[in-house]
Amino acid sequence: MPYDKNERDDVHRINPRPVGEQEQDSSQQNQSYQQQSYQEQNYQQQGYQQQNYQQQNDSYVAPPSSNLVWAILSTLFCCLPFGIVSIVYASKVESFWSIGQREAAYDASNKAKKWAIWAALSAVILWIVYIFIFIFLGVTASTIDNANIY
Amino acid sequence: MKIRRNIPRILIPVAILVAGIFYYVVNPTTASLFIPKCVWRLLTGTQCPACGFQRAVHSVLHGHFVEALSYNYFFILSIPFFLLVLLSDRILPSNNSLRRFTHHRYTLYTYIFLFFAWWILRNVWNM
Repeated sequence: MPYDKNERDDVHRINPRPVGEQEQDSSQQNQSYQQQSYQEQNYQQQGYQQQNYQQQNDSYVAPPSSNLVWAILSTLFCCLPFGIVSIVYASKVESFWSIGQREAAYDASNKAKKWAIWAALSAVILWIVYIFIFIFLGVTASTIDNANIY
Repeated sequence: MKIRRNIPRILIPVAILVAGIFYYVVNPTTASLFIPKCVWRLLTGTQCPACGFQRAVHSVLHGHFVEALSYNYFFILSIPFFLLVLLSDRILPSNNSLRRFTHHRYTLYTYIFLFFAWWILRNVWNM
């Protein structure tokens, strides 16, 4: 998880310690960190408080890649509208992240990636199928020799 | 793991280079075989939103920009938008206002709406 480290930074920012005291209080510090994680578990059990907790940390963490580049590329080059599905999921990444629903944002990011890959793959697969039909049925070039087809 | 992560960084530029040489040499308008054909076009006889991009790439590589646009007018909109997305996602990820614009759902829904509008209009007006 990319935001574990940042939560620890958050702890240090709230309770800044002088340098000399750090070694003495290391056990106490550990304890306070454990308390923090215990509180976090409590937050995760309660739905709306979890959102509040995540919203506080939003400025410390970058959102996941929306994979929008691949989504747009697949609509540019592939005929099939699977890339549109990818764009829809990519747009959900940002909006889920802005309301603090991190798991949903990561989920949408992965789905956007998956649909963009399938958009590209389906075009390749269909082209291979086309070549096989072309070879096995013995369709001559003249029957489909239409310049506007590409 | 390290090798696996570096595969796209090597493969993508090589693929772009090979495709560039291929489309520079081969003219899709005259070469009928060995060029990927639009399956949608083959099955339905109507044009898909991306039809014409291979001819457009060939024209761009030979310096004919206006001719390239005439094969697919949607490139006026989609290629600048793609470059903006590339800029906001990969090159300047820290620019939040640009990222907020390109990833905003209204922007993307507008793009999707124009995509389908272009799909219908190009078949109605035979562009």
